[in-house]
Amino acid sequence: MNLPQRSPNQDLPWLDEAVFLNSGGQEKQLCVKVFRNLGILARVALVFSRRGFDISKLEFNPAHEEGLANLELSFPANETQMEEVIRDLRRIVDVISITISSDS
Amino acid sequence: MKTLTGAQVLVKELEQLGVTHVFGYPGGAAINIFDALYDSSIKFVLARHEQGATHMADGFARASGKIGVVLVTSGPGALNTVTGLLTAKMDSVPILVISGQTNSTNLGKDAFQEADVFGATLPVVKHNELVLDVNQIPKQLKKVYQIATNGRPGPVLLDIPKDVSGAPLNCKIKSVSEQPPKQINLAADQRPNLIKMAELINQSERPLILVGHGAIIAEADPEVAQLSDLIEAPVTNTLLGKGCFSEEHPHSLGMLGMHGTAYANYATTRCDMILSIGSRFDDRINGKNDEFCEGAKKLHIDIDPTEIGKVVKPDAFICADAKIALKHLLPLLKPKDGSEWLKELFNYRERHPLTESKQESPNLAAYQVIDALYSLAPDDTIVTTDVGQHQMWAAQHFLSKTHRSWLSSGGAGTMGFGFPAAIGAQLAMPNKPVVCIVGDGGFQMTQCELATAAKEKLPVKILIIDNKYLGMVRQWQELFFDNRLSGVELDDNPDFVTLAKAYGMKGFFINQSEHVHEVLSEALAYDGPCLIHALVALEENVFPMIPAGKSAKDIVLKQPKTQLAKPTGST
Repeated sequence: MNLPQRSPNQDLPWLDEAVFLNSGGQEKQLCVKVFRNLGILARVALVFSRRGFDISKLEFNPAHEEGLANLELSFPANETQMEEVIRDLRRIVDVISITISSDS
Repeated sequence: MKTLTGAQVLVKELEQLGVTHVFGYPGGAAINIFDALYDSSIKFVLARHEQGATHMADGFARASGKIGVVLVTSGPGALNTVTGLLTAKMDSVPILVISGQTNSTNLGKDAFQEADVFGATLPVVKHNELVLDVNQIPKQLKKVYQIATNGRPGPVLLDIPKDVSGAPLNCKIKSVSEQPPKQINLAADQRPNLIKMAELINQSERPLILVGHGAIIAEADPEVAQLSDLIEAPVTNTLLGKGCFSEEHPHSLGMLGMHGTAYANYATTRCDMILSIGSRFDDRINGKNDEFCEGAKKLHIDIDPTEIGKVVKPDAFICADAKIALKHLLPLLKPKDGSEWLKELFNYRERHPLTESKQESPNLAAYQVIDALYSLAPDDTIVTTDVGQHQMWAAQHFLSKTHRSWLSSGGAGTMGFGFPAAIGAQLAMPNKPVVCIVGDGGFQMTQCELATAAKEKLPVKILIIDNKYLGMVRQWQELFFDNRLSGVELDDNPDFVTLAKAYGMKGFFINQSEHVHEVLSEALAYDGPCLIHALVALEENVFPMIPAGKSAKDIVLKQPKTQLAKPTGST
């Protein structure tokens, strides 16, 4: 089916300018092992949007174990912000483990 | 084997879990579940608004310690529970909301009364699930039930599309529900923390115990009393910790924090050790974090590992159920002589009693009504409150003696909570007197539940402290914003006594101090629901008060003569 290619904001082009989130600090990386249950991506994303933090990169891969997945997240954050993110991720029932990637 | 529908299995599973009451409001997407309830022993309580139903389940859970269950329909029905879910989440209350959903084939098509309830409730629940396969109903129900009631309790939601609840399900209902055994031992990895904490308590000379809601949830009141007795330590409580340690005990300092007692707040400036048991060092308690209990060792017992170090970096902590932690801690402690420390606090209390800020006035003061209620109410009375000035006066003047006798919205500060919570509490505890103390503003947010109380013939006593203002905001505007009153006048309040009559309820009115005892006695003795409209002084303020973001040293004990600086704290 050919759908019309039209930006929803075509008449208001300035609306297309992204509002950049400012979380400051250096790029951090986390690997989060999760149950692949419904909404897991939304639950993880909410940890960031709630605080006005940005996610610069996100990868979602099935893990070796059945029903599990690995989430690789990159985001700019200082140490306190990083701590907050980890704390909130731990509150998600479907999160199994969180590892801080060594190169961050 | 008889084939049942998913809805019938759901209701039977709820019965197996020991659920006796379900609060809610029907609708098309939930109609299969309502049909299944028809054959059930579970009592359905029809609220007049889903928010009310959710607060009722919350009050039921806080009063009984059991899960509170809500059943609502899709779309607006489910979204009206969001405020109740937030209230329960902030205060760690186990409630389960079951919402009907549009047919699963219609999901995402903007069908009639469709809302993404799963998505919309994500930030306000401990956990939620959408059921897409009828065979998963028993498993998903048990999962959310376990999550709601284990560890740090919290609200959960189960969203069930109508075609799923109506589909046939071959399922054997097990006669006994599998419950994991309640843990009684401290996890081995907490052992070193325990020893470190015991050392710090043994070394302290001016210890202070702070009890929060976690201590009540864990039913740790005997252990807290033993601890205070052994180390002769004063005990203060958070708003939600009221009743864990009797506020009539000579070691009790009453409530701590923004509107806490002068002496409890003074104790935080003088103690050399503070032990928080099931409190999360909320900003109402700490004020300014880096000046909170400056120089004192900070010890923290909390079941939720993500609370340890969240606000205050503890010198020692135990991550465990408060009762289990204290049971293991007590044998390691040495008795102390706290007489000098307790005397210092007692002397301070003599100089700065709660009545310090009260001025002679011809008008009836709110605290006089609450004081009178406290002196007249039986010992086992359950008090619920709404949010605002009346809540703080009630917290200060209505001393709590036993756990689960004080139900109030703390973290969320939800106006409209008090009255429906009282209905839930009364259903959970039919033999206890239940009084709700509400303001004229908050009561009107959920006053439609008068119909529910009348219909269920619940002998709830509603005390409205009416000052014709949204008083707490007016107080801020007076103290910090040059008395520029904006959006706070409620001078068009209805005649509450006539309103009660319209629902077939008895109504009482007081506006003079000499009638308070007589009217309250009559109301408390009245058999059935009744409302007491207390018209009080219009512009009274709550003191003591620590302006938001300030420390205990900045406490304002009585009406200041000059304008105060605008507070830096947000609320």
